[in-house]
Amino acid sequence: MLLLVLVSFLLVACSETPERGKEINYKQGFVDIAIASEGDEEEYQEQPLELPISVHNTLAYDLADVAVYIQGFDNHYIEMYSEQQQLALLEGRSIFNHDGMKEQFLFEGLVKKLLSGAEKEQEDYRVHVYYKSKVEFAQTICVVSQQSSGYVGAAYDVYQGGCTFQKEIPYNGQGAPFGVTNLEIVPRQGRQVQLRMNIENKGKGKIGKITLASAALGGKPLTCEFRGDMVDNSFLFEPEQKSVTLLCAGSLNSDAAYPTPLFVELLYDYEINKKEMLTILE
Amino acid sequence: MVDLSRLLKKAFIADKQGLREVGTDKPDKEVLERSYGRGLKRPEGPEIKDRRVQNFFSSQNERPRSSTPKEYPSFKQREGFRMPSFGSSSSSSARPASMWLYVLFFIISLGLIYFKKTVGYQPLFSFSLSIIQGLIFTIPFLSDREHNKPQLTLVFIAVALDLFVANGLLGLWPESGIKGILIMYHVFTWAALSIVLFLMGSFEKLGVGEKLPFWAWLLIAFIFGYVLIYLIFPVLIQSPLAYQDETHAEYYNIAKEQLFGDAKTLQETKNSAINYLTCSFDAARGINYDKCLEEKRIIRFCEANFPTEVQNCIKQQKELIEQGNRSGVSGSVSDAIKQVTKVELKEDQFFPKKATELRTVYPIPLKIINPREQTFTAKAFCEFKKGKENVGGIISIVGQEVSEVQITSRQQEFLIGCQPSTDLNGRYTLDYNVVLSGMQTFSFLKRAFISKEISAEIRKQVEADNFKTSRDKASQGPAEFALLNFKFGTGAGTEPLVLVEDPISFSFAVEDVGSGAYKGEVLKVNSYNFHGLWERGFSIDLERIGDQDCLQGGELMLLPAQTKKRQPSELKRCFLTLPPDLQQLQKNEYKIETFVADLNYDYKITKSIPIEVTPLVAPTVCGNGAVEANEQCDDGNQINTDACTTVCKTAQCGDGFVNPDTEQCDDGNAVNGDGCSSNCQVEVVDLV
Repeated sequence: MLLLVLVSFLLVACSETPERGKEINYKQGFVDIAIASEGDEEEYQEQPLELPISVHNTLAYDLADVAVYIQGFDNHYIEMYSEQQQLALLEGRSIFNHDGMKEQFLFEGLVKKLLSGAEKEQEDYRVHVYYKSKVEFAQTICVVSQQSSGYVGAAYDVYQGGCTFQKEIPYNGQGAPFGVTNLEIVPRQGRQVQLRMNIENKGKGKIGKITLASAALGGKPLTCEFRGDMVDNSFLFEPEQKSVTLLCAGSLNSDAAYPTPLFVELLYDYEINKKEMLTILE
Repeated sequence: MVDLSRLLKKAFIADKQGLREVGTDKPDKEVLERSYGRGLKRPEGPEIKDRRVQNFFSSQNERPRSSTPKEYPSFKQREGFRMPSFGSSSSSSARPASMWLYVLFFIISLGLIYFKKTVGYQPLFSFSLSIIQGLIFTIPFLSDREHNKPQLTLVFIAVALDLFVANGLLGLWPESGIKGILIMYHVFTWAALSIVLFLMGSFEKLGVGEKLPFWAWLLIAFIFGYVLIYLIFPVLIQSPLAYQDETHAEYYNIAKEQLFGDAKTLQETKNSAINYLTCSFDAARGINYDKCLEEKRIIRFCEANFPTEVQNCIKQQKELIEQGNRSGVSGSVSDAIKQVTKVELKEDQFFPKKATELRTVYPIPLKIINPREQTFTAKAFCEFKKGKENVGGIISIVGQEVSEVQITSRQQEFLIGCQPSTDLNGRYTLDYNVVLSGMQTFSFLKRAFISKEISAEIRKQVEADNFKTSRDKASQGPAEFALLNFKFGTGAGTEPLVLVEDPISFSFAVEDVGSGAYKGEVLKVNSYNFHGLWERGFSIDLERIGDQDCLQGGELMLLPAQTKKRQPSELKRCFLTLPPDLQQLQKNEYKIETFVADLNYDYKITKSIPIEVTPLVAPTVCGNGAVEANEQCDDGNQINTDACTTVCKTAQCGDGFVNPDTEQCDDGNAVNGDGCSSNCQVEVVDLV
């Protein structure tokens, strides 16, 4: 009987533990929102058109000022009464909403007449979604001053005061289409440290502008700047640009290596589009 | 140029050598001395009797020559050469023709050109003109034929070539690639000949030409060179044109355009020989030859067509060139249009390819599939051809003597009969022609309108989503007979992405895409309407040079060369102004639109079928009283002594049968002195 209770306890314990882990780890990996056309793939000519487009926020953050556009319909065949719809907020995944919020946008229009003698026409179009969101980079890192580490530029690890100093640490996203992919910790003289964060867009869309909302090391604010042209706290991505480096300088509490929390919050504009297809029948 | 003058001189002298035996005149010592001056070796030559000859360029005669005597031909080489005589009957009294004769020739030639400009082309008329002109040019030289051989030969060649061109080549090969050149020859041949004869006369008067000053040689060489370049360059450089069914007046215009290079469109404007020459000199100075020619062509076009705004025209045409000026407008047939109008003219198994009746009816089914239910008419003609013999045919449709039917249904079939208007005998080619009048077709073209501020990524996406193949970038229409090709956009108008900030060029062409077992031809455009553009708010940019009727218009006559498959010529072009909503596209915004245009046209389909007519011949029976094939007579009896023999030959002297009405005897031969003469009279035979 005792054995049965023990086995049952083990089974329950082992099966629930990963679930809990998932719940608290939404802010990891690179994730894009999901866009889908949920209407019919075929429509008849000279009929009204209803085109439901769903946007599913699978990110670990809320989306604000969501704008959905339909572009690319040939005006000869399809006339859209409205090509744009907006939504103020679309919640992301959290412990209160495991799946994230999904919203359907209904676009209305008219399917016009096919060309004389034509039996069908295939129309490719694109659903563009623009939104504003944020990404948080919160990690506990091991920092050390140059004096203690004897850092002279060469890379090496040091173990002192209970943490292992790692000069470079790779990361795999923070639950958004873009995030920190690499952190380089450069000890400086006089209890100073420089943090070099490589921020990369791994999503299918494009970043417009990123703004540094806050950055702190051990609760103390960091002085940061983006490498490249920067306006205030913001950095404008070039159309084809995929990554940028954020340089931050901070002060340490001790010469000895110690673990401390690093928190960086970035706001950004994002645009993503998806190709869809509609066939017009005679 | 000096070398050229020497060459010309040598050629001329060589020509004289062949005639030296003919002359009889002796050289006049005094005249020759006066002509060549002292201190120079006097070449031997004929006596120049005519004072006009001595006085021709007389100022030059007195001038001492610096050339060595060796450069001149000997007297013997020139001996016997004569000027063309006018009004003289003997060679000894031959006198050089007055220079006015050649001027008269030239004036007559101009008159002929004027005729050709105003009078419609008819083979017989053209033939007569050539003969008359040939006689006018020949008669003055006939009085001294011996001495005017070169002139007469030239006239003969000109007549022969003119006849061959006007009544042979142009008719036999109406699609010939060198037709433009042939027409030019036909129109200007007599003027050119009169110039050549004038130059020959000048040589004559100058006594073989050795006294020509350098500048005169230069002038002659220039004229020859100029004529030569005009004749050679169009053949070598300009693309050959094909023409058909031109009237004489049209021939004149074509020839004029060929000669002077003027045209109503820049594409048709050609460079003159002077342009080629000056650009050759410029190229030697390091200027790009092609660019130089292009510039001069633009200037020619603008001066001819926009004399009041030449500079503006030049500027805009250069802009067009930079944007990729192209004369052709390509298009393609669309796979998406399944309902296609088809007309088929095809003989079935009942067609009498071999007939025995001389005027049998040749039926052929005309099948029409008209899924879009167009309304048009089909008019039929037919003709039987055998070498040069053309026999007209009488058309009947479904047994009725009508040649035209109206098509309205989705599917119709008619039996067209063709009966020869006269008896046929032998092998013929039967040509059925069906002219489809009022055919309607349409074409469509997709374009994406973008701003210059569009991102490269979106640009790529737009192109990838909408213009997957090269066919998507050009206009498309149903696979029928004529295809309305059009293009518009930035630059040459072939790029599918249209930058709304740039000038928008537009042009169209009509392509003959008729295919199948028959030969087809787009005869004319009845109307064209790019309603997809103007209904959407596009308009013609009147501030730029272009055709004002390029979006909508009426009748356009077409030549086969203009509707050539895959290479149709541009018919109209202009610049367009975009509607406001397209002009104001925002960054990364784009619009996709398809534009439709309609075409109404006439099309002719031809079907040629070889036929053979062999009349049935009944076996000939001599003696049945009816004269049949191979019978001279048939009196129905078996008597040999009447007017018709038993072998159905007409009785005649020498046939061996005595016809008492006309013969005293008939010994079956034509020998006299044997008792029966060759005219079948009894002879008294001398037995001694």
